[in-house]
Amino acid sequence: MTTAVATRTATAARGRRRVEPGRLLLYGCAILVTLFMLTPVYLIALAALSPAQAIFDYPHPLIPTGISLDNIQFFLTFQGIVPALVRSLIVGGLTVVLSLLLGCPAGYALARYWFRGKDLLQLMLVNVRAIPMVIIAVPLLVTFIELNLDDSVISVALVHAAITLPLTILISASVFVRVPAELEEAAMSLGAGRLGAVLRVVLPNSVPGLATAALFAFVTSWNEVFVAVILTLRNTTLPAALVQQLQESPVGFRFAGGLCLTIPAFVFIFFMRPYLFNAFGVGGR
Amino acid sequence: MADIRIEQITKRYGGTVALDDVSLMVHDQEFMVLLGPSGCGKTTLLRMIAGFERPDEGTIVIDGRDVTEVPPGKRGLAMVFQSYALFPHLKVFDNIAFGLRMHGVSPPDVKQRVGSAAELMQIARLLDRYPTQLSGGQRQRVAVARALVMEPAVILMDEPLSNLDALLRLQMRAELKRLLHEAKTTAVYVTHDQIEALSMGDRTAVMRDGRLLQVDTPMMVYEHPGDVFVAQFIGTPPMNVLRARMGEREVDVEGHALSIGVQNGYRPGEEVAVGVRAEKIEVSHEQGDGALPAEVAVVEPLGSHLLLTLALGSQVIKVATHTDFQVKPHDQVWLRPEQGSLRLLGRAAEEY
Repeated sequence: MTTAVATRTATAARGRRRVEPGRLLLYGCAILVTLFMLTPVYLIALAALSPAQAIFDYPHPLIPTGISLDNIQFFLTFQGIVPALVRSLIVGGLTVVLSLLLGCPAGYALARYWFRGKDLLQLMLVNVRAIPMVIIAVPLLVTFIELNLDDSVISVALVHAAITLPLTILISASVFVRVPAELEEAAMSLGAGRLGAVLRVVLPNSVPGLATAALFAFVTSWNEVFVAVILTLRNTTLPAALVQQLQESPVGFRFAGGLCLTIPAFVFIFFMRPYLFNAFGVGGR
Repeated sequence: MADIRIEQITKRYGGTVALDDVSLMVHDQEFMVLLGPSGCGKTTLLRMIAGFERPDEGTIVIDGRDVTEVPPGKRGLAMVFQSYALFPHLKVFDNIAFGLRMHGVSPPDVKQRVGSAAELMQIARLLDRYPTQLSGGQRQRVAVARALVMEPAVILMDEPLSNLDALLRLQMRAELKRLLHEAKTTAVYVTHDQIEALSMGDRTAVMRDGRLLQVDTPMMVYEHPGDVFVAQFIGTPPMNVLRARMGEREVDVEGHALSIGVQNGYRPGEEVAVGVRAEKIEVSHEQGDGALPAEVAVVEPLGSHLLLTLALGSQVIKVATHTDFQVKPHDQVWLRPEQGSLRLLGRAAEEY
């Protein structure tokens, strides 16, 4: 037993000696960033889960004094909230699917081929974000009304896909570039067509990067308010519904709404996490 | 079982000519080595046979069928890549089975054929692993198995041994040669390693700047190089190339006449390049008939023989001799090329 303790202290000492200043700094920064991101989330969760009247306590306690689901329950049973949440999930899902379906072929073209205007296209992809949504919102709405698509989940998903498409294209292009062309050629020499080679070899080896693109698309769609408010009236998404009701709702309701908005994004990131880490070359299966 | 006929292939990339009017005939079951320095067009030619590149001019005919416009998977050939190009997301078994499955082979047959290919390449116990869990030599074996399992009429190899360490390369060289001989496939093998070219191929095609310089058996390329470049690219050490002046039936090297027989196409008095292999020169301490005086500069014992670097007048010459020849730097010795070992390599215009 004494030897066990001795070895343990020895390894501890060795471990302590091995800590480099650079690593310490890195972890320090990581902790600071994490705190910066998590503090508001924590405060929102704290308020949302407190009893309705405790929100107005002063000084406000930083640890929960009593857990209560009153706020959450009130929020979730409020007229139209659950359908809006479901619509938000549908819009997010559709956005991811549309964005990947349209973005991957474009990304593949950028990664593998040279064509006239390629550089210009890449430049424009980056600049799409510079066009203010406000300017095209009304024409968009008019177009959707003409197409009988106004006030629908599809219309919002289409616009969200358009918003996320440039990033999806750029991410997927950078992912495909990293898959050696020789792998595709090997597949083709073994009898696959180009499409077969892409489906059987390139895509399976691009999962981490494409998961990143999917994540960005989903979170962008999930957080997007402006387009959703303009394009929908009754069939609106959760953030848009919240924005419309925020003014005339009690404080507890707002916090519960805030919490419910953050949770799905967290869940999505949680499941994407293993792929994300792979995408950035950290960790591994 | 197929022959390959490459007819007047030209390929340009922008302003540079990668292949310049190349014609080559590879016979059925022949092992053809494409040899040349990097950028000579050998890989481009191989990729063109594979179907990854399209020629600007010319045609490629495999087994009597014009395949110039046929996609890679439908040419009845398999390829081994320099990087092996194993699919990282598939286990070894599925890597080898990939081509069979693409061709709709039934699952029991796939299992059986993958099994025997793995047996042949001695990787049967690795079938459950992913490529990242294999060593370089094992990956190489998987890559070859993946090609051989297709029982292709033609197998193409792009520097398949260049990523292996020296000892393993030596082993695989002999094994590949045996395997391809037994598989009775036509093989086209690209390398920049002249030893591989000499040891493996039935014939060697030496390339430079997108052109074929010489296509011959390894011994012919070694003993009768067509020009100065081939002479100096093949062999360790490279063939000695000496500046000389053409005579009637002899050449004049540094003021000494060497008999060379009648040569057509050269006029007496012309400056020519004369080649002679290091091991085809007798070296002696005594002056003999037709011997040239030279001064020893460097003595390198190489185990099997002694490599001497000597000054022959203003020129440098290398000679391989027996290890028991007693010599030291600054010794004066006499050199005598063996009968019939001198090669005329062209007019002495080029640099060498």
